[in-house]
Amino acid sequence: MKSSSTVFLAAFLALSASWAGFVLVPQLQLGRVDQAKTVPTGDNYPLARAGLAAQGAAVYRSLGCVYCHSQQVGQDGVKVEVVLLDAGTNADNTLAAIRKVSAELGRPETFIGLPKKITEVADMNAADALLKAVSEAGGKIEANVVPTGPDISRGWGRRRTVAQDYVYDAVVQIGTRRAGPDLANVGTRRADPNWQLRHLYAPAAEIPGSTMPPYRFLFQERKLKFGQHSSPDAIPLVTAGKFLDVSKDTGPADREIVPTEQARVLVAYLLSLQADAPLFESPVTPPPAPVVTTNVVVAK
Amino acid sequence: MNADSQPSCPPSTGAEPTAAMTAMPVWIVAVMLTLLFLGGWYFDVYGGWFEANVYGPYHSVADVMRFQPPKGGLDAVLSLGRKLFQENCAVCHMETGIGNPANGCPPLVDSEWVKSPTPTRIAMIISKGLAGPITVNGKPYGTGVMLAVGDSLMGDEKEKAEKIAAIATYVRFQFGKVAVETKPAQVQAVRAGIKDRTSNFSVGDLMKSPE
Amino acid sequence: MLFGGAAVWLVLSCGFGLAASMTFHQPALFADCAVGTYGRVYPAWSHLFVYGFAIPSGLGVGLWLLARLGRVELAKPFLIAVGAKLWHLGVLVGLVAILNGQTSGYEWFELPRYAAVLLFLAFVLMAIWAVVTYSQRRETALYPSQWFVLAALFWFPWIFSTAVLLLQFFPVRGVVQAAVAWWFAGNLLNVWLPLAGLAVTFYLLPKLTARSLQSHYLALFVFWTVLIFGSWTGIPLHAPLPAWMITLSSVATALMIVPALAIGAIVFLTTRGAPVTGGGGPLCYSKFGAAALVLATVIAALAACPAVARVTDFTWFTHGVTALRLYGFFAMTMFAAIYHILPQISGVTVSPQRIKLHFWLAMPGALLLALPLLGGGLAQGLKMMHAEVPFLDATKAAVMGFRLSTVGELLIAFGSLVLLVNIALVVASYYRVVAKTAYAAATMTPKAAEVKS
Repeated sequence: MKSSSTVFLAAFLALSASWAGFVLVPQLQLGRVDQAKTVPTGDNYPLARAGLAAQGAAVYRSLGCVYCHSQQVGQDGVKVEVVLLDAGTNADNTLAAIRKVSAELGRPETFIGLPKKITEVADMNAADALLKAVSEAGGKIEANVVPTGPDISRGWGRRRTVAQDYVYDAVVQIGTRRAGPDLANVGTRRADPNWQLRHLYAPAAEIPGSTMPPYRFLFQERKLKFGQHSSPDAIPLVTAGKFLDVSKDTGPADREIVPTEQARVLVAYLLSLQADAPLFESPVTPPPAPVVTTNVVVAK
Repeated sequence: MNADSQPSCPPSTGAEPTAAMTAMPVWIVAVMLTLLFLGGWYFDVYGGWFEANVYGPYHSVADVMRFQPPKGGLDAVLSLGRKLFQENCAVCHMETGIGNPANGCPPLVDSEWVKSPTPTRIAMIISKGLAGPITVNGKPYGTGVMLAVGDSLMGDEKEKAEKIAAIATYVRFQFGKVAVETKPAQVQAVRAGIKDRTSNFSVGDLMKSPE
Repeated sequence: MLFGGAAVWLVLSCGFGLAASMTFHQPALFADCAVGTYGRVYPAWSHLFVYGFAIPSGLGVGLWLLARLGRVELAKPFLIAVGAKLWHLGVLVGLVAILNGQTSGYEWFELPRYAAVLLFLAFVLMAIWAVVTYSQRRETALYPSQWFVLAALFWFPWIFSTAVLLLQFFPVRGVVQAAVAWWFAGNLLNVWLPLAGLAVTFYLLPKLTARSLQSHYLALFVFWTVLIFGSWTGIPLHAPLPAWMITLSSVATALMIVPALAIGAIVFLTTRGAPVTGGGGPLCYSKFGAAALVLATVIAALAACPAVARVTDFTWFTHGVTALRLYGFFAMTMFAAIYHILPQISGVTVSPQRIKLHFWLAMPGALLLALPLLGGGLAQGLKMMHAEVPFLDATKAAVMGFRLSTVGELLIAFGSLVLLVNIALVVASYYRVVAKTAYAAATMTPKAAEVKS
């Protein structure tokens, strides 16, 4: 019943609709995005990867790491925690102010063990009353935005990843499977390059029971002559002696493991993976900066 | 695999199939319409209506706005000021503000220059730097030169003024216990008056401007 | 040509698939060898299966269907054969590149751009002559299978060229790459494969049961819904994309239940009460294939609900659904078509015992491959939801399912070997007969000449 032109028209309409929806519009919305500013400090984000890390991205892609590791953090919800930092010089005043806002919180127990979280509220607007009351009474208080979700509870990130995080990825390696942990923030989580190198060489030695294949071909094993020092590039081995391939029982002293260029740039790339900065579309309160030891308590 | 040069082309095994023109079962259409309705509802609630800035679990831009950090206010300025101080000033003046007498770097803690009634002089010093001897809390500091840190901050004039204002607010609050925000407008006014200056200030120049 | 090459690639892909699975049974197997690492072997498998087996066989079947249903012969078979050879060359080049690490990094589209260009040119070459064949048809009334084939011929060049251009030649920035890659994969797996496979199913089911297709309107409905809903699938729940894209995709995946139900209705109504001539033949393959498609689509639709997707995303579950779609539906339907078409174009019959053997290897193989992965993935996902469960425990929850699925892969591998043997024997017999006839003609002419003179 249908002529070929109807078939063609049907196919054309359906495909152009979905092309417009999932190729054209995303390009218009997200394709020309460049650096954005974090909130509230206004830093540029993201920063382009440094040279070694950029090369490492190519190694990551060529080895197909994306088939086991994802690079995206999910988020199921968000909450606002109100943290009381300091009662101020006039604690009774502060307590009275708090009691005006919430009778339950206006009890002396609230001031035990400061700084501590005193309550959770639905959003920043709901925290306003408390914040105002305590600040005016001279105390120090803050409201932190805390995303929640299994990924975040596992420590894989502080907030969900969004398009802004991938702006400078040459080939976006988001991944759809987790045979291994998520890597979006592995640069903050496992910041030691030697750990990364050891883990690449023998994952099961760093993480017992790991199913990740060892990437020994990224390293060179060199025999050391008696008394010879290991070269500066070699991976520092753990003194427990069990680090190396557990099936071979030779001690660590008679050979050294030197990472190849590929391994080094790959680790540089892994260490550059961070996606924690607070953004407008993915708000989070970053952890406090290092404490300043002066005689005045300053709100973060 | 072409049909031309076959030794024996077998006859087609029976007639080709035809499609009966019987009517479609209605229940499938009903299912589809129900699912379309549910899908539309789902998109309405969770879809953020084509906003590029709305990511789950937020449902709309208004939703995202509910969790933004409070803009402005002393706290925000202080946190920005502290960050900039640590990046630009703590190198010489130390994070604790006690300075480095060996290098001729005066302290900021309890300094009368920090505690002065207006932030004018502080803004001038930060913008253009300071050369020559200066007395702080009765002690002389003579050997150091402060560079024009404020001028070399990133950004256009407006952003520089904001940043210098933040630093000034932080310094005066942290080391001088002056809990009054220095506004960017004040800093801009000061900088407008000194914008052509290319050399560091000296104490004599500073004394000429009001406290 | 297309079928033979496809079978070879299928066997090879099984080899790579098995090598990939071995990584999880014995992680240290390929530690010293860059070529064998999972990250290269797995894309090799998917490249070979999709571009080596699935698309050529779909194309070959589509060509045959257009010719047969149009009651006409293929136009310019030589050029089509050239196109086929060019395609296989592209697949080979892509395979070598992937094993060397020149992969593009996008799932289901791993080939580098030089191979992609080859494949695109080859496909367009073959598609043009397919359309010419169609336009020369003598039978003007259109049968549903022809709509599906024509749509598929139109679909692939568009999605493939978009992917090649926007991901490899003029790469878009940031996460838009992921959007384009997912759009391509969704269209490839959820539209193109069903289009090509359903063309076969809607042809073989009525043909082999000597009934008429029930019904024209249902097939039309399936056509439209697969095109419209299927083209919006592909984006997973946790993607770092704005919420609207994810919601639209989830809704589309859930809506795919509708064509699935319609396909089920067609299969049921068409074959209901028909005398079973199957016994391991093409009818069994296509019935199983259709059932697998319905099952896979329904499972995927249920998994699109956020409550479920939160658990199953990132686990083996999604791979299980894809495996069910690829091996359960598409491969089996292609086998049905191959075993139906081969005797007709070559005049050589394939031994029914071997067809049955292949069926009883491939069918349980597909089920054993896909279903344990679904279960294992679910177990893994449930554990991953709780942050206090160590990650390794969650991974280990899927181990049993994974072992079973490797057994399934082995069965499929053996079945594919049988397919290869079957095709090889057919080709050999065909050429033997051709040689014989040519020889007979050559030796006859002088005799006739002698007789005449």
